Amino acid sequence: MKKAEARSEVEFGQRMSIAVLGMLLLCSLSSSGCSSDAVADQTTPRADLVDIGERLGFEELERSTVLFPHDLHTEVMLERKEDCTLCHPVRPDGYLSAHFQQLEEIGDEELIDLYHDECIGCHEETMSAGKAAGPVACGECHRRQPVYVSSSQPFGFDKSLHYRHVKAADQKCEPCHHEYDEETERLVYIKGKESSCRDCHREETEENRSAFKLAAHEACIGCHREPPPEIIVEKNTAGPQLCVGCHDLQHQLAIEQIQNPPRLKRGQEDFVLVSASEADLASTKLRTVPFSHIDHEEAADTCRVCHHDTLDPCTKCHTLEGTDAGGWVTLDQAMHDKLANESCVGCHDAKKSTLACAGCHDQMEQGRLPEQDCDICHAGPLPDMLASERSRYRSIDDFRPSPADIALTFSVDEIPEKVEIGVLSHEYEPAVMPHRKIVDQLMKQIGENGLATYFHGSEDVVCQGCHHQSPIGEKPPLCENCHRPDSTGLELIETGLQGAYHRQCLGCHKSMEIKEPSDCTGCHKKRPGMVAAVASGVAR
Amino acid sequence: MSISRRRFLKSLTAAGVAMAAPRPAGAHGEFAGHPESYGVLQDITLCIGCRLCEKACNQVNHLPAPEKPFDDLSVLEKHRRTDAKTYTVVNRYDIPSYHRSPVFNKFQCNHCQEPACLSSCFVAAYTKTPEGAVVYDASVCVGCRYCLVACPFGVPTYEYREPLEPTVRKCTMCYPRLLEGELPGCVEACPQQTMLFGKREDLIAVARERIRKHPSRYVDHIYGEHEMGGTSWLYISGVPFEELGFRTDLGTTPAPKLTSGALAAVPIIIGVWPALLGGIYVMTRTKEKAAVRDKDSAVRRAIEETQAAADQARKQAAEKAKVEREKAVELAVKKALEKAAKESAEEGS
Repeated sequence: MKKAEARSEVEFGQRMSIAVLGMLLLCSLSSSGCSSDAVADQTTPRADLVDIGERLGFEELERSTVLFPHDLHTEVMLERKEDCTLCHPVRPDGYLSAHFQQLEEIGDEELIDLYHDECIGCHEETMSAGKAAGPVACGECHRRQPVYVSSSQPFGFDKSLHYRHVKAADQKCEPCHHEYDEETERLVYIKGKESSCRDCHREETEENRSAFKLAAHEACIGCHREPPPEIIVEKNTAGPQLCVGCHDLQHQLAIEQIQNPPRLKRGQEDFVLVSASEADLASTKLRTVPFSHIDHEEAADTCRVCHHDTLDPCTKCHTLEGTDAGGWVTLDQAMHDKLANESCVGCHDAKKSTLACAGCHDQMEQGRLPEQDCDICHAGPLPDMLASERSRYRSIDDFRPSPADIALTFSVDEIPEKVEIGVLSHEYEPAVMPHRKIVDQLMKQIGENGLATYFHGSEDVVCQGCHHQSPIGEKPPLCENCHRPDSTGLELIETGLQGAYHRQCLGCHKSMEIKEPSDCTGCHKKRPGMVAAVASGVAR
Repeated sequence: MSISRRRFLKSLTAAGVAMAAPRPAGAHGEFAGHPESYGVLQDITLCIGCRLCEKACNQVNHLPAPEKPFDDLSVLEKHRRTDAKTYTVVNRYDIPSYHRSPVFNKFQCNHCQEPACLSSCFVAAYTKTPEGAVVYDASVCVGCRYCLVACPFGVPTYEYREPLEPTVRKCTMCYPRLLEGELPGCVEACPQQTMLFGKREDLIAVARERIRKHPSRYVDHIYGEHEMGGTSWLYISGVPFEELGFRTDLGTTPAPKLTSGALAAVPIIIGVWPALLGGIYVMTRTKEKAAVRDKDSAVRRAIEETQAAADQARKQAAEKAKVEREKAVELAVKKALEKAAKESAEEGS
């Protein structure tokens, strides 16, 4: 009997140890899960990674994808005094193929074999020559826990960079801009028909045009590598050939910026009276909108900011009814969508968050269209008069007041110099606001900005920054007329007087990044004997 | 904890009785909050981190003075949470990617529509009042601190330093003040009117309106509208809530509903199991008895049959013996007669 007990104890012990081992194993598995995260944190960011798995057309990959550090290979190649053609064959047009070891895209299976043969072959060769070489074992390229993480930034042409290229090409457009001539099956240049690359080169390669990514890499790097004779550029001063040159954030920030480059001329008008298309014109009633194309060119970095990828006029796709090409976005939506970057209202609204404007406009409803004031923008001739009156207007200044004209209708004496706010004073003494100084500063900033001048030209509208929702006039109603001093928050106007004052003043100061006041006493001195709290958020 | 053992046991019994009453599972899910209940909308974009709310909270709740005065903003350098002496804290968050950084956020009880603390409390120390406040009754608390564990927001705190009668401490939404028609202390004190007190439904409408008017200023979410089945304290923010330490993993199911299925089964088990087990017992016993009875009768029958068979055999044997005896007698008589006849014939010749 005793023996049996002892044996069962031994068995129990064995089982326990197995269980403990199992649990340890589980723990180690789960902790290795954690440590893999830790490893992921230690990955090196690189802007030159090519995700080879992504280039293959498989839905699922058998092994983890390969993140190929392109610049690392370029550097080694340069060290060995080799050429890009080691990996990228030269195309008939003289540019390098963007594909690895092939002129045209080949099948996925063939591509896998090609990568394996060539990569491992070269690494082995290098190794046998006694040099440091890349991996030959499967898991060292196909890493489950990648050692790199992509920090590649998208890159685009802004007007400064465009100008530098125009200059280098001696004002010629044809080195870059081309159209496909179906008859001759050749690329030709047509003056005045220049468009953005993305207009034809889309996401994927189509029939007779390569994908944008492919075209951009082949053309940009091809030209940077061996500029054609018409490009005036000293040897080795052309643009980047390494990935980081365009795609690394630090390199991007270091690209030389030309301030106010000359316009990109493509036969566009300086000034337009924006209306619906000819076909829609008869069914519109609103006045046309005076639009300074030249001013907008100055304000925008690229044509694509408004024109998407094409350089067509808005009304080609955005009609009153909408078209398929325009994504069924109607003309009025295209112009007034407050959340779209390309629309008038959306873009103007975004401008309101610049420091000079944000003080007043951050507090106002975003994208609100003044119900009584459509004619601020719709100020041009009526649609049926457009043909006859078009020639009367030559520039936006026919509609925009001159900065001198936007002076307030009151005399300086009528604007209070200082306003004492003491209605709530209890712990603190009344606050004294430099009223006229604020008005003067706002007026000055409005006058310095063409856009602001256009919209603040009438009827002392600047006063509405603070004296909102009340008639514009010499003596606006008092704040406490609406904002109750004893507010419980349950009234129609939920903001009480104290909240309204603090939000208006501090909100504006924060939006305009005005550092003062750094604490409560910056506006109102504390009364003797009262303990003051310091408002920290103001200063920051 | 002024509760005697007797009272506790009594309340437990009462709870047991209440639990035993049949109640459909999932009945909690239908509760959409007290109609017309109040709440607070906290607009995080407005807070300037002045800590006047903390000061007001301390005063109206008669809490002990803090180590550092309320106008000392150096406390914001460290992330703080509520404790037994502090019902609300303001924390500062530096968010480099946000143009209006730093962000200040005030933390206190969220006053859930269906509070986890309440559902975890087996002495019903918590009440969700029709006004919206979640209040705690120290007089029935037994100090188990399940509520501290249950609260998904980590709100209730405990007077660990109170040796004699420690209680759970948390924001009451200034319930006593609400009953007097006054605003919560923090709401009233905020110079920015960061918080708006009102009917919860109205506050949601106000929050939506603010987001609609300023789509770039706010993230399009009202925290507390649906989290954990909804809270009476609502928030809108300019940065994603997780960046301000809000839990965004909570889902929209109220805490009580997560356990109501299992808990609703308790009365059923309490009610049904005795009957079930008793029934099984009775059935087993009946079966056993029947088996015994069957066995006895079978044995008896077997004995009887055996007995009968034996009697029969004996009877047959006896009869056979009798017949044979008679035959033997007959034979003997016959033989004797034949012998006598033979002898007389011999004498006659």
